[in-house]
Amino acid sequence: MTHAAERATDPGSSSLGQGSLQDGSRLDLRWAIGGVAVVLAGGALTRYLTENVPVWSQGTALENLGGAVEFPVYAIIIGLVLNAVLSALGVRGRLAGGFRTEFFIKTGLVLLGGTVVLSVIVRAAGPAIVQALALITGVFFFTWWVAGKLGVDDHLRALLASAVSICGVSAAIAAAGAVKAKKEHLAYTATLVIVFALPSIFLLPWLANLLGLSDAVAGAWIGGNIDTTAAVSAAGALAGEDALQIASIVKLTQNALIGVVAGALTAWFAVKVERDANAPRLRAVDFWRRFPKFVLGFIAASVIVTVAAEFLDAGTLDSLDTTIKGFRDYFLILAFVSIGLEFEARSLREAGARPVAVFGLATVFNLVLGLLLATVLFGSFEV
Amino acid sequence: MTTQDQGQEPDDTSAISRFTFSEDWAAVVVGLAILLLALAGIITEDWLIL
Repeated sequence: MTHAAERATDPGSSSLGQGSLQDGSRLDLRWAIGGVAVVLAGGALTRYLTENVPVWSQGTALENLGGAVEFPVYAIIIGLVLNAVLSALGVRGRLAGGFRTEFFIKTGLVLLGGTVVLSVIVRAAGPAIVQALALITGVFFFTWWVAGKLGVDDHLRALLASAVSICGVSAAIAAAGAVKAKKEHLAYTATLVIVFALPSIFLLPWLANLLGLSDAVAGAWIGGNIDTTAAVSAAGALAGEDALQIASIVKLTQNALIGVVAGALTAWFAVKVERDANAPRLRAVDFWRRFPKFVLGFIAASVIVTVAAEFLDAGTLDSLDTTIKGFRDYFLILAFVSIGLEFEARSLREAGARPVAVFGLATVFNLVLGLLLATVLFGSFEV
Repeated sequence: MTTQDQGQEPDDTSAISRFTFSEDWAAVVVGLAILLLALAGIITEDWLIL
């Protein structure tokens, strides 16, 4: 989603040809199709390397490494390399209309629902909701407090606190709409989310293994800590299939609370921060509008496959599972390539060090609180 | 933020929110369509040629 924020701040994007996105920015369809083609090419290369590197490295000193590296690693690195090349050619901003990370990741997550048995969702929902409420509340107010101590602007405080406590860029966008933040604040927060998420993808599965966490605790820790949903899927995939399922359920639970937090922020800013007596009242439809609908798709997919499993023979069910996982991983690969393509370092330099310090401190707090909650709530959970 | 940004009126980002969340429905439709086509045996993993 950083492309939306990026387009909003990219001086070159406003003069692009015909067509208009719903976010008000202009888009040339030909460039957008070109952007999608770049993502597909990155995805194809990722799949090629994922299949062939283990074969090429057999019998060499790199055999263990070649067999251990999985598709999220290739996809993100390829995305970053393509980012550097397209930036050097001066065309990345124009192609960004095709870098649809959110669509790719959400489609992948709907398909992921088709690989999770409904009973796992039902059993994990309770602890996931408790963890999400405790983490969002604790991390949001810690971040708000630290940002205030460091003198960060109130609108940027709201975006940073929402991003680090809920679900990264999605939450920052919802919060930006709620508090009427500047587009520059949104672009900057989106970049910070990715800067912190990229190392977390590799760091958290490694730490979870080092700490000897069970799959469920590792998944809950990853899902509760890494800010952006795509990065949660990448880290979960590295930690294993069971960890991926729990990480996704925990993250989707946080996603589902975006509307509540955005609604609370709208009211808080109107009444307490900006003291606007003429602010419109919040309606139930505002919460529904901000509710991430792909969560419903995730649950629907799980219900469909769980019911179908009652009527299918084992062979057909295995074949269906293979197909769904194949398409799921394909969309996740496209999302990870897009993450690399969207990375934007420029706005970090423009904003200075204080918001980076806020995000860093909040991330450490999130890691510690998240580990505590995941251990308590998912310690005895069996996937 | 840059010096230029200071003093500007806040831009309305609610339109970006609306656009972003409209992608939710597209993801639901595409994801469930793939799932149902796989369930009907119409598509398999072999379709992933890219």
